[in-house]
Amino acid sequence: MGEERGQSLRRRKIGRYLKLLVPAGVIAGFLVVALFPHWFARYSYSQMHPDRRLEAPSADFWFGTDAFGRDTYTRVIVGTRISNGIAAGAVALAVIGGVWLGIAGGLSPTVGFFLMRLVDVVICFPPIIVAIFFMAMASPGVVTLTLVIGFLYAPRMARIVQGAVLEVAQAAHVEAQRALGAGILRIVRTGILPQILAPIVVQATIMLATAMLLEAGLSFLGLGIPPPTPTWGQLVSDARRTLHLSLYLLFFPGLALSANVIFINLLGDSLRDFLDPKMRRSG
Amino acid sequence: MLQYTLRRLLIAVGLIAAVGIIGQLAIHMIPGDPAYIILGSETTPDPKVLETLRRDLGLDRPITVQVLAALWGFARLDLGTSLQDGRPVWNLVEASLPVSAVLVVSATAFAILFGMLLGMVAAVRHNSGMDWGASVFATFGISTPVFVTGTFLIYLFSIYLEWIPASGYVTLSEKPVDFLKRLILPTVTVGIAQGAEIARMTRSCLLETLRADYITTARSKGVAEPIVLLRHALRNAILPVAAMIGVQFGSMFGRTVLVEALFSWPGMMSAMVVAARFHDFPVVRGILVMIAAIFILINLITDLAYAVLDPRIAYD
Repeated sequence: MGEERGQSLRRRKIGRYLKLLVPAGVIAGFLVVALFPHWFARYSYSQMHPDRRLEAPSADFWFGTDAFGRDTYTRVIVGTRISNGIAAGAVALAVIGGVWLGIAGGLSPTVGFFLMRLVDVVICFPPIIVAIFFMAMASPGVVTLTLVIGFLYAPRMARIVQGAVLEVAQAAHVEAQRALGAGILRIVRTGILPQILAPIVVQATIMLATAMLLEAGLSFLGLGIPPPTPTWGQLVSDARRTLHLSLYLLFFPGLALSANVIFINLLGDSLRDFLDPKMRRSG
Repeated sequence: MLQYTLRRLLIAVGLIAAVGIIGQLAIHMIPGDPAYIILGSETTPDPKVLETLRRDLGLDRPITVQVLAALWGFARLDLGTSLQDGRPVWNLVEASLPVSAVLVVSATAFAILFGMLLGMVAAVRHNSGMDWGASVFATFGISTPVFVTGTFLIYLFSIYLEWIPASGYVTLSEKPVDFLKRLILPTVTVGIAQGAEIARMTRSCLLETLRADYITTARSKGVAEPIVLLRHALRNAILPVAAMIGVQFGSMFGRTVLVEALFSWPGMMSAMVVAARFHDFPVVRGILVMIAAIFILINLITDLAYAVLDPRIAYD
């Protein structure tokens, strides 16, 4: 009886690790592709094969070719770099900005008040609409896109961090540090930051997925990275024009995009269960 | 209640004004000369053209005057004029807003029906193949962008099966049948994504409710299962679902942008995208403020409805 229970517990524990490790492995795979696309690419993304246009997948062209005879597989590989690069860069910006803003807001009621009013204004909008607004005034490029998406997500991160800080700042160990005369930076570094790391990591993972969808959406609308650099959103948009001739041009970039997003979301869910069981299904 | 309503109304007006202010200031936050970017950076623009553009945009005046002028304009429904064709932005909004509204309303209706049905089936047949299928479907629905599902639906229904036209829009009064035909795919595309979220929520709320003691009581009294489900359980599970549908309007608008562009609908959102491509700043800003106003009003109405349903909120 006892042994049986131990076994089922162990099985559940293994299941929990698998739930974390499988998505983490897949995401690591995507990152390797993003970091070293030349290991995987088989042609140049702009190399045309005029006599082999709109072909189905074959030994020469694993994902088929587009209307100019360019290798879809290579273009999807290069798109991986853009999607993951911009999403990661934007989330890094959002984390850096949001964490400091959130800590400041959590420790000072005045800053907190103004911060939350600002967050109210930014959050009440769908991010893509604000992003369209900013892209209307900027010349499109990797840096602009990363900055705009990072700027949009920083307030969301700040709100999460502020909430967490407000809770931790009440805790006995912070009060003890304060009573001992520790400086504010020391309290933040040793008393607060380690305590709020879990929600930050979870939130950053979830943001990674939404940032990727946002970049792809903007690309689809023609407001992302301009051609000839291939991005997943742009590949889907281009696929529309030859949809009556080839479904592969839609299928592969679409699959890459949704697989990447699904596995990031799965990783976020497992991280949440793993790091902070209290937060389960609340954020 | 009156005090609460007034306070909320004031906050709403303040928020709309804040969006207007940010909309005007944003043009200065972007590095570089805004007039330069709007004209495009490929060629060096004529200084005279730059000067005219700056005057048209009001950029030659002090920032405070610019902001106040913009706010005064919004208050009179004067959203400025388009840089492309010189038409008032308000005319564009008037023409395109109903198109977007049709899509948002029909997609919301479809999402609620489809999502709640799927969630109910999954909860009732808990842990069955159907439950598993519904949850896989919901995960895909949430993670796959609408422009991918939409393009796939176009392939399936317009190109492969040739049932309905792929894109375009006709007015209801002009050709009612064509109008409905062209409404189906955009509605389903947005509705599947929204419905997936509703299904998830309905499933978990209903599962929780079905475990309650009064459900066991009702069953043991011999109440028929459909009545237990619909009258006892669903009624109590529906509140958080309804709350989520209100919150969802944000993602709904975001998806509508993409779907309008995909299906070439002449809606307000796709007008914003087209204007953004041509750096037509007044149009983009005007539509942004309109969307903000609609959004804030929806939130206001939802909050007030809650206060009516649950009087404790007003005293908070």
